[in-house]
Amino acid sequence: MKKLRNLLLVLLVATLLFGTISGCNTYSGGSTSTPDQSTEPTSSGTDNENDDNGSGTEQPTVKETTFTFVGDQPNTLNMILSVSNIDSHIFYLTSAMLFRPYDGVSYPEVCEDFTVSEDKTVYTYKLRDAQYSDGTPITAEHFAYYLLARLDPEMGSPMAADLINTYGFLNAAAYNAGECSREDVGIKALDEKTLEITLERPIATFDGKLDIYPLREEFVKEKGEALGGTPDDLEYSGPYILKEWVLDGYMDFVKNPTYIDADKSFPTTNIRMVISSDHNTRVTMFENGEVDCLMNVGNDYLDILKDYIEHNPGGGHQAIQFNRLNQDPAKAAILGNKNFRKALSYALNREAIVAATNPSSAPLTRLVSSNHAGIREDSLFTEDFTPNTVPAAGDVNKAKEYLDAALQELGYSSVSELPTLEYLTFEVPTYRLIAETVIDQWKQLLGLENISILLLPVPQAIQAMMTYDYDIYYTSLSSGDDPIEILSMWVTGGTVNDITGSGRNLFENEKYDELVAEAIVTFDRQKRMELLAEAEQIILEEGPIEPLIVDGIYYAVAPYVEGFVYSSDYYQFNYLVVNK
Amino acid sequence: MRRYIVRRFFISVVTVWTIATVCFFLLRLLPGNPFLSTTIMKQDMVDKMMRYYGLDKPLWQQYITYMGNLLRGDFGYSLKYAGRSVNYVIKSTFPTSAQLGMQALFFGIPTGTLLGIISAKRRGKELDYAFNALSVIGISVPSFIIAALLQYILGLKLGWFPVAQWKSFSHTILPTLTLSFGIIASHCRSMRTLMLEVDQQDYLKTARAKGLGETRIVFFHQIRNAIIPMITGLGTEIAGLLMGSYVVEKIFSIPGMGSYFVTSIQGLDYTMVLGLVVFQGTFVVFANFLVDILYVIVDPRIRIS
Amino acid sequence: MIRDNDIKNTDFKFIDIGSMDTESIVRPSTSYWPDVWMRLRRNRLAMTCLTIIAVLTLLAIFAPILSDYEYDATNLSKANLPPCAEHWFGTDSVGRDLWTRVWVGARVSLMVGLVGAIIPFVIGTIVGAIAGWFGGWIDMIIMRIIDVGLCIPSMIYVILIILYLGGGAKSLIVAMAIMGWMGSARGFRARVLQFKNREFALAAKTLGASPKRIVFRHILPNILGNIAVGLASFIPSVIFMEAGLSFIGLGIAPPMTSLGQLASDGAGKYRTFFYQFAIPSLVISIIIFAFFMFGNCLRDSLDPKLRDQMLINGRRGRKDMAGKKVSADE
Repeated sequence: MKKLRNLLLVLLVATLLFGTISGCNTYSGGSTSTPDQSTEPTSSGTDNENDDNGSGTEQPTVKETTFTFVGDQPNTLNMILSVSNIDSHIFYLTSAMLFRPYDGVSYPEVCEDFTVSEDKTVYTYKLRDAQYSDGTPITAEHFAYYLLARLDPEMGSPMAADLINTYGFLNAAAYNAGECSREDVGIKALDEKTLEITLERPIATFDGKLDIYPLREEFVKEKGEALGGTPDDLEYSGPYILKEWVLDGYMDFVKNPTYIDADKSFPTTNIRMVISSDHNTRVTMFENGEVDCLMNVGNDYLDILKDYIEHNPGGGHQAIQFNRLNQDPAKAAILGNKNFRKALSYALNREAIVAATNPSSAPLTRLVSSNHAGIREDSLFTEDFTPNTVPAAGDVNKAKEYLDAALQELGYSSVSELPTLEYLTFEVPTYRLIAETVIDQWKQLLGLENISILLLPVPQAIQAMMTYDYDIYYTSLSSGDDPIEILSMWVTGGTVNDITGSGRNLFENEKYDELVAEAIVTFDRQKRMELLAEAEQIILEEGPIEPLIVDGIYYAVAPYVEGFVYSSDYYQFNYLVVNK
Repeated sequence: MRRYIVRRFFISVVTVWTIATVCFFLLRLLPGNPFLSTTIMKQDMVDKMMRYYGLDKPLWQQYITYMGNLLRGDFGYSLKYAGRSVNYVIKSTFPTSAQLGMQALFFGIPTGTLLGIISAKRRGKELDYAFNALSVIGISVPSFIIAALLQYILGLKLGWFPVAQWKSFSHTILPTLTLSFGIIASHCRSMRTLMLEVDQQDYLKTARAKGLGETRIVFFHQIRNAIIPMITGLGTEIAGLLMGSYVVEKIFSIPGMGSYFVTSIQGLDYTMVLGLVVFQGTFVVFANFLVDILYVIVDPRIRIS
Repeated sequence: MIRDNDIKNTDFKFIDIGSMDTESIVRPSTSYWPDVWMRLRRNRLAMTCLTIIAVLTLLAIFAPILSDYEYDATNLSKANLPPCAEHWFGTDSVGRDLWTRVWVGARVSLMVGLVGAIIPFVIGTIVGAIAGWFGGWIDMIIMRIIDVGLCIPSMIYVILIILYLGGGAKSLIVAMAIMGWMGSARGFRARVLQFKNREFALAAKTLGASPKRIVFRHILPNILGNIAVGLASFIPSVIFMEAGLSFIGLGIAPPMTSLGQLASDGAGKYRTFFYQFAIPSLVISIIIFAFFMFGNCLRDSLDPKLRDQMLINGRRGRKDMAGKKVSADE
């Protein structure tokens, strides 16, 4: 008995301690604005009655509705240092915009009206009355500061080059290089309601509809390093206010009554973004009805959710990059040899590779991907122009021909004489699988055995790429909104082409540079697209990259959600209604 | 005795400082920088960012600045997630990891120890074999496998517990079980071993010969002597568990600290890595310090000179 | 309670000591190690574990050689096939034969486990012995070095090792060595400490034995069992650690694979292709289990005080002087 009693005593103490510990409330879930999250299937719904929600854009703002979805946690909400479009998804919700893009079209928001000068270099915007959530009015100065801060060389913004390349504001490059002062830059607030933008030269792809946010200099200075870290370190002028951000847990947004178009759009009153990095968990939450939408459904679960998923094509490009600037002259010769590259490219059956490794993506055999507009705004570039390039299923015979030609040119009598080449890629599961598949296909179809895979964490891999310390690199590039964006990365001195800025370019082609330079200033849309198509053909033939895959994404939306629009840059909940 | 404590304390502080220093310089050996990501930037942009964060200054200068801040308890801001201070990350995620760890410990250690004692007393019988086998299984299966299995069977198929996230007590059950597996198993094994070792000691034979009851023997003599070696590893074990487990947190989508350890190193987020390492280091070093003192108190035979 | 009339003189029979052969040798004459081996051999569980390990090792060595498929040969049209006649373990998402991959992976896991355990174990033992025996400042410094080393995230130097040594099994072994020696050093030091102040050690010291002699001749034999058991338990821990590294993404470089890599790749797929998760997980768990279990049995065999119970009549029961069986309980 004594033994038993002592045993029980020990157990009791342990249980008490256990109980105390578990009583700690570190839980990240119980918020009053959301319905009870349990494992019961679907709609426990909100407490309020459902009105008859048609599909109209006008919603009574009294009713409380919540939209819960799984999304990616923003890296930072510091507008100046933000570099990823994951962050811009949130800015779209928390900040007012000069022009707000929705479903592919830009609509004026804070901008009432704008005029363009004759030579298309000066844009003058007239602003409406708008305010931040604390009542402070939004002025033109704030929009100007947003751009200027990102161009300021002392503020460390990584997007400066992007802004300069895309818009080419007057003296922006000089300012960023520290050669002139802020006042000299062609971004000025003429008065409280007038913003004037001056470009160095007219840009054909710029329609004047700047999707920029207002940013207050005093606020930025006050917050310092803490800017954008927590809900208190943000300014709110947009449709929603970030009420709570539990790190790695969720973000709660509540409708902002002071938003300029509060009564015309964003009918859902509460938004909860759940943060979960595990695909399995996300899918389970969707199946349980805990979330209404998944912004990204993992490849393994497409079958399970097949009734709810939609596909959005057109994401980043993945391509195989050959380093012709390799330090080893023998390797440099091989990697710079056009026939060698073509051999490796034609040997790959992109369709099969995509189906096996990443079904949400699509094969890519050219540089411009399938969601870019073409000759007309409603046509697709990829349909208007078909380059002469590798077929999506590959062509093994042609590949072998190319390989023979390459070996002959380079002076090798067989494939086994080639020096060992290293294939560098990121330490990410999908990339690893693609690497293994690609290498093996080359081995089986071309007999190329001297290739090894080097898997490195992202920073080390990119560092190696930036120091030209690789043979073959599996690169991933964003495709941008317009064909010109990706093509201008490869001009002499372009971002990817001359990544160290030292003047060594992976791709040097005068004709290509000419075509792109001309396209930038060609306002005739059709002519511009034709120039770009020609440039694309050149780089596909002579360039150092062989495109392989274009990312796509599958998202899942519950059937009771209306007005859902998917965008790769923004959470466009403008007319989203949850009919639970 | 007091001199010993003071000296150990001082040495602990020095150890933590060494950890911070070694980690600081070791991190810089890795090529790359925190700003290299899949968003391609030209070198001059990267340089500007390095300058903004003061990473272009000479290393020793950065070190001194960092140490100065550290003494004031300021771990700095993350380099990858602008605006997120390291202190804030620790403050937000540590309680979660700690709660999970403690639950696993408070469930696992007593259970494991108890099973070990029972196993030792029932040595050679079926119960011993069963516990033996189970405890070995418990430490044989890698934690991500256990986690996936528990999630699948208890969460998905049977629906007894929530599959993931950290929203209420029932959400904590599956991850706690996953972590406890290893704890129970290893403590069962070690307790059994130690009990058996002690069992054959002469003083126990004396006690039995004297006619003392078995219970008294077990509790007053056997367990106390057996526990001493077990305490050695306890400090590190506790500290390790409280720091969170990357695997469990990833699979169960728990907002804990464990994943930050991994992602911050993968992303070369210097300040975050250092902050977490110093935090963990302090914990571990002082946990060991306490355990060593406890050790000396409990076992008079071991006087570490 | 025993009452007087329960026991009578006639209940007792006088056994003449002359009728027993006091000089007879009850057990065959033997010394320590052969004794251990004999007991181990008789232990069914230990032999089973050894057999499992042997079988799996043989499979790891020969199965890929005898297989029709290469471990890295992709076949995109035959992706994700469940186990069937052609592919005993099925195929993975790019059509590679899992049977071959599992055994090639087992090769890596076993090799990394064995070599990656012995090296740090030896280092750790020596360091731990030095720290434990000499004590004082040496002990303090070594322990602090270990403290520091354990607190530095191992990921950092694993990445460094991969960068400078490539991603093969070699760098994994080095990584395991660096990660592993500290734990075993600590444990070993604790053991040495335990025995250092025991009476027999003090006696030897009084008699003037040198530290080296005391350690090797007196303390070590007591701990030898622990060393053997420790090693047998360390090997599976290393395999375990390697699986953990694979989960983070720091496993062996592709296209080579390991069991840990296969299991962690499969972990995300248990809903869709359960066999891709189950099979490697099962194999790696069995290997680890067999090693640990063997270690357990080894420990039991090594303890001389457990001989009586185990030797005669196997594990269960012992006989008393008259040859009758008594229970195995104390």
